[in-house]
Amino acid sequence: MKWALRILAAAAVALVAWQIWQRVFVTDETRIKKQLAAMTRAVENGDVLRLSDAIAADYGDDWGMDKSTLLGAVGTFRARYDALFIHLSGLTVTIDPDHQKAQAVFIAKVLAKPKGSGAESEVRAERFRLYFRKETDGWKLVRTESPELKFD
Amino acid sequence: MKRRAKSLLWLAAIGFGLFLVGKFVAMPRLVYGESMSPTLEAWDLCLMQPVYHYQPRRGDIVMFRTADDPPLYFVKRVIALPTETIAIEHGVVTLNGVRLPEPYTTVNPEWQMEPARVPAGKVFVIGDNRDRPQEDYVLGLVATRLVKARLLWHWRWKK
Repeated sequence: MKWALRILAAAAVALVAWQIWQRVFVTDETRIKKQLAAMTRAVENGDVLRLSDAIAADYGDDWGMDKSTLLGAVGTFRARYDALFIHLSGLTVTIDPDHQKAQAVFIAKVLAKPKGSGAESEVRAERFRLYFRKETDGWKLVRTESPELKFD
Repeated sequence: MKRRAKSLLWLAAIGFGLFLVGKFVAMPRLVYGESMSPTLEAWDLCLMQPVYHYQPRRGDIVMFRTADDPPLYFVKRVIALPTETIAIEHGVVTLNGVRLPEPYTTVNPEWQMEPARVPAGKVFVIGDNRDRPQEDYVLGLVATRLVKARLLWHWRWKK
C-alpha cells in the first residue's frame, strides 16, 4: 500500500513537472512542428481519427474542401496505396505576435507504392502553406494552400 | 596514440576535401519524379556542377529553384535561349519557326503551345518525359539567376 502511494505520488510529481516543462520551455514553433509530424504520420497510416483531432471544425482550403470532405479525401487517397512515405523539408514556421495564429510553409515529398505488385512507385513534391489557430486543446489546422510556384 | 591521431587527422582532411568537392565542384543529388524520363529516372544519382552566373546553353540539364522560400528544386532541360521564339505544334518543338531535333524524347501530339518569345535573362525549360499531359509537368520560363547547377554525370541504381 505504502509503495503504491509512493508510486502514485511520483507519477503525480512527474506529470506536474511535465506540464510545467511544456508550458515554460516548449515554444509554439515546436508545438506546430510536432503537430505537423503527427499529421504526417496520421496521413501515412490512414489514421483519419487522429488527423481529425488536428483539424479545426471550420477548416477550409484552396480546393473547396471542409473538414469532413478532407478526411474523406485522405481516407480515399490512402486506400489507393500499399505504402506511403511523406518527407517534409524546407519547413518554416511563423507565429503571429499575439501567439494565437501561425503559418507553416514546407515542401512535402510523397513516395507512394500503389496497390498491386507490378506497380511502379510514385513520387511527388509539392509546396504547402498551412494556417493554424490556437484553441483550448492545442494548435488546429484552419486552412491549407498550395502556393503557385514562381520562377521569375 | 600518435598513430591514431594521425589517422583521425587524415580522415578529417578527407572529409573536408569531400565537403569542398561536394559544395563547389560536383554536388550529389537524387532525382525525384519522372519528368526527365528516360534521361533521368526517379532515384537516379546525379552529380551537378554548381553554376554561379549561368550562361544559357541549349540542351543543358539544369537544376533550378523556385524564386520564393522555402525553395523547391527542379531538374529540366534547357530548350530555348533568350530572344528565341519557341512554339509547340502537335508535340513538335520549333525555335524561330525551325523544328528542334530532340533525340532524347518522344513526340506527344497533344502538346500545343502558341509562339512565345523568351525574354533576356530567362530560359525555357521542359522535361524530357512527354508521355504525360502537358499540364502535369512544370515547364516554361525560368530566370537564369535561379539556375543553380548543371548536370555533369548520373548513375542509375538498377537498369
